[in-house]
Amino acid sequence: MLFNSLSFVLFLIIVLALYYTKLFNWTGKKRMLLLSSYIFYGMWNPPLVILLWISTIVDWTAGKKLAVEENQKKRKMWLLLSMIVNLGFLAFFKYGDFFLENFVILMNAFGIDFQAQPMDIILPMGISFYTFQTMSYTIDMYKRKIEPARTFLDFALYVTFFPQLVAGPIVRAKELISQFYEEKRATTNQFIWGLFLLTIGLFQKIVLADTLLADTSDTVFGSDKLLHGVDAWIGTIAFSGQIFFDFAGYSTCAIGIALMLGIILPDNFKYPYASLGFSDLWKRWHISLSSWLKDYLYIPLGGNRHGITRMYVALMLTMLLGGLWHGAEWTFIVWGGLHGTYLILERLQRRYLPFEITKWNGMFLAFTTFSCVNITWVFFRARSFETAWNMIKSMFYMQTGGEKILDTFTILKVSVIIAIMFLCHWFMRNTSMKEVSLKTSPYVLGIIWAIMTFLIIIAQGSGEQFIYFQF
Amino acid sequence: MNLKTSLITALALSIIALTLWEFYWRSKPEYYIAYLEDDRNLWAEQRLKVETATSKDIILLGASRTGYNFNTHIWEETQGIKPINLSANGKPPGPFFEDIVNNTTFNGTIVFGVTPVAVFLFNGGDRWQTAKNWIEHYYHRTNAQKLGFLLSKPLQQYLVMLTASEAKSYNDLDLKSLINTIYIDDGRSKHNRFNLVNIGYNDEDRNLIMIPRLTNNPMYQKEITDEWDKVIPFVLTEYSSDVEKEVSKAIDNLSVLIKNFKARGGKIIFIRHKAEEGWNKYTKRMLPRDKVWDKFIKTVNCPSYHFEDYEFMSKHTLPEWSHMNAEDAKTYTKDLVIKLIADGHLNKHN
Repeated sequence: MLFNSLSFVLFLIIVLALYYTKLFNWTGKKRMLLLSSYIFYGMWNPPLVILLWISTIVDWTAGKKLAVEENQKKRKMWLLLSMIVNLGFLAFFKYGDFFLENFVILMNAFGIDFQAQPMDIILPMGISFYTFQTMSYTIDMYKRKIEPARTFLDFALYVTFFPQLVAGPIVRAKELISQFYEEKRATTNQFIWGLFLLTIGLFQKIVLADTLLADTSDTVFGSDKLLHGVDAWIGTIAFSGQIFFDFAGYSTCAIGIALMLGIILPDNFKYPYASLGFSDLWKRWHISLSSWLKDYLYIPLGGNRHGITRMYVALMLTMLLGGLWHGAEWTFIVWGGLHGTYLILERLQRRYLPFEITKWNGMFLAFTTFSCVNITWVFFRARSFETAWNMIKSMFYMQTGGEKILDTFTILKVSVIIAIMFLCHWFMRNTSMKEVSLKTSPYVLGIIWAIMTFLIIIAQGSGEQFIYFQF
Repeated sequence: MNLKTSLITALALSIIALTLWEFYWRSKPEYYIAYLEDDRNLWAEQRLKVETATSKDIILLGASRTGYNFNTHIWEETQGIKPINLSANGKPPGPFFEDIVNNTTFNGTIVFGVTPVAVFLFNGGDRWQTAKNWIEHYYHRTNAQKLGFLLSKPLQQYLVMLTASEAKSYNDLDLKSLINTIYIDDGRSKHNRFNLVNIGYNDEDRNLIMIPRLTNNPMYQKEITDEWDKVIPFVLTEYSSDVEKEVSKAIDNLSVLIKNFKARGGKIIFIRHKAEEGWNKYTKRMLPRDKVWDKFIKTVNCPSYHFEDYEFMSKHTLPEWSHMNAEDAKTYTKDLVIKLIADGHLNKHN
């Protein structure tokens, strides 16, 4: 079920009504939330709920055993079981065709005539999110960082909680499970603020991403022509805005919906396009994934504890795998590799060419970071290296006579939206929406809210899927 | 933070703004009317009927001319059976025909409306893909999508402001279409800008109905014919060896499907709807009758009706050169069904 659909509006109204009636005690409410979460997921593809159940049962059992088992070897086996099941699901459903395709290429490269039919496996929505979330539980249990979930119901709800089930934030057990132990009820202010966040999230998705930016990015990246530099840049920055508004929109909706139930989810985006460098970017963009990768990949790979070279290797590996997490394509791996390279170059700069960041050079640095990020988006968005390379050549004017496929109004529209987005991120980078709203007149806030609502409704979103659902 | 005040303000202003917006568009009834959008969801409802259709049933295939020129209610009155309307505005019928032949056991009658450009030239292109997307949607639509469509039906039927279409027509009312009307004509992009104007609406059975103002107001008719004039000469160019190859490929593909369909007892009738000379001169230029239509009919050996051969098919004047108005569509449907019954291609069931 998509947040930007009428069926979800009905679903949410029913869930909220049941949640706030006195029909159920807290356990009953949690059962209702769990059942609703399965319905939420099953309305897309009912049989794939079974994967959620398997993940839940395996990790619940592994977690329980890890809590009491003292034998280190057995503990490792339980952890391994959880890893095999979750990563096995990912490997089969998400990377099956990718592995097969590359295996065929490898065989052919060695002169072995081997062909295989693509398996055409359906990709379960949000599989990368819920497997990472549930794995964090068993890993933390293995490391004895957290207490086991008190009941199966609490754990199952942690794995399946519908607001963040299919596209995050990827919440750690310690942040969410403990919230299920005691009855939660949103205060009036929390409920209204949650509704406001839901509106902002839908506005970002329906109006900004789908209505104002998606077509330009689709036109440019879907073109089979060599493009003029301006068109290539406009298409790229349009995608840059689209993916931010799409993904941050989803996270904002998720946080808002959870808040309406009295549950607090962590922030997933903090104005990332005003980042001062790439370390800063990854503290602001998809925070729940970058912190997951840091804690469960970068640090176990050695982090910065074993010298500089090892640190760079760990950094690069983490980013390459982070790229692969996004999709089973080499273009995503290159995207991760570029971010890894940026991070390494930034560390080298800090070591050999340190400089102080002031308010004067800060904006320039943020703009430079944003521009470099845009180059990586080309590989993220393009469906082939040929398209990506053509785009890069156009962007850096390495070819003459590129075709102009965008009209002047589209160029102006995208430029203005992206400029406003960049400035908003810049001015908001050290504050939060909550703080700003506290300083804003309630009437002004109401007017802004009404404008967003009006635009969401007249946009008549056709229920476009969120980009990150495919990851 | 006084969020209650903000919420009340937002609610009040949203309701006022949306009410004014709705009334503004309602004040232009000659342009806008509330109706159920003819989208992939509505098409899927018709497609579902094929699963239980019998050899007595009829399926209509074709592009917009089939949608506008046939009226399934009149068809039912005349023959006693309401056809399943799978025609699709702006989409080639090829993928839909392929779907019926390859993925169903239907062995009734298909009445196949032929707009030459859509049948013989749109093979495998963007429009072909849009038709495939509808078929894909039918097979893979989720329960959430079905529920969403069910909930949206009454809203679409009663709110004019929800006038929209997949094609994002120039006169649609969704935000994207409204923004798309803004254009700076400085010649930057060489692409010819075509203002696709929605010329009708549809009922729940997917009968397309021409907006009444188009029937008798030459000014409105000119709005559309000017757009045709801008775009058709570029789409329908000269007949050439490349076109010949393309047409042959389309005929070969269709022949295989027709053969398979006939082999299981299915009947298929081809209808070449009328187009006025403003349109037809370009069709004749690129897809001349003797080299395309006649060759096709000879190859597939199916009953066929070309508007140039029958007075009842060519007697109507098409307001914007390509489609019939609602009243003419009723007469045309009745005349054609009577003719098909008289010629023994259809049986009367009432």
